[in-house]
Amino acid sequence: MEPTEKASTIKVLDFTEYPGPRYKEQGDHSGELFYEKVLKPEFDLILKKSQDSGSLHTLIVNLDDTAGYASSFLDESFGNLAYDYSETVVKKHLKLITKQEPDWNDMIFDETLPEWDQKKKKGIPRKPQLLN
Amino acid sequence: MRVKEFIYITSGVILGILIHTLVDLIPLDSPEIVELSGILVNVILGIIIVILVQKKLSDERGIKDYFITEIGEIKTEYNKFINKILFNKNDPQFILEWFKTMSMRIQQLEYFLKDELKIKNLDNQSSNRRIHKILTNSEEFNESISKRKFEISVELNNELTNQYKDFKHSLVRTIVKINRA
Repeated sequence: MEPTEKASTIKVLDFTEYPGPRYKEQGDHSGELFYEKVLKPEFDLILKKSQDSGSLHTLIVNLDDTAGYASSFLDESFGNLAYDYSETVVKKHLKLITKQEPDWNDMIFDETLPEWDQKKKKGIPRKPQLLN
Repeated sequence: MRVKEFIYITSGVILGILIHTLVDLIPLDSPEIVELSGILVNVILGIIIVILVQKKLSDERGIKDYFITEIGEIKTEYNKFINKILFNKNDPQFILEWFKTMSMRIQQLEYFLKDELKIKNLDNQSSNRRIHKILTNSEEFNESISKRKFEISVELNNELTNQYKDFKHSLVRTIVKINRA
């Protein structure tokens, strides 16, 4: 019997209505902060639930209803996931709701995740040294 | 069946019956009756077909004109927006909100072009998204968000201008596709 899939949903809107820049140093509600405060802890929880139950748990991130994104916010948030957990694991456990701007889904899954996965494999630091 | 189509077909049937009745009343030989009936039926069918075809062509032209007007408006708004950026007159938050609204508008346009006119391989939204990414992925844009003032560098300005040119080409290509559809 196939393991049943269970999902938890989070909304970027609950983090902020106005998603900010890429890095924390550049302003409020950055992609980096969203990753550290929301996305990473939630993704860890999903992985733990999957491990404990033996069934597939998925994190659904709803990108709709904010005022609009800088592409750097999304790149930093979801790119860091691939950097820490690998493209394969992220693609298995992550789904996006992007009804308002559906092409963000393609950008994140087809460009961001593979690029950051490669970045990790090549040993490139996730953040430029000057900003660390 | 639409009301107008129903009216056309019903009119055809009524005319047919009328002709048949008239033919019965006029004292003609059988071959003449057959010939006359044939001519009249052909004329009536021709009229009905012309009306239906004209209506279909007129409807399609109306839809095409609507889409072409929408593209014209997108081009005008985009032009104003890009000029403001090039002259450093836009708040970064406004830029993000403007892109969201414009992306939704272009995606909706492409959806209906595919659905109504069966046009494939549209690249307006992908081109719009490239402009969005060039700007909002740049370090200078990210540094400007908290300052609420975005001043574009010469390098980014050139990159933006080139990509904007591609976007305008994509709009023209779409107008050509609409007229050929």
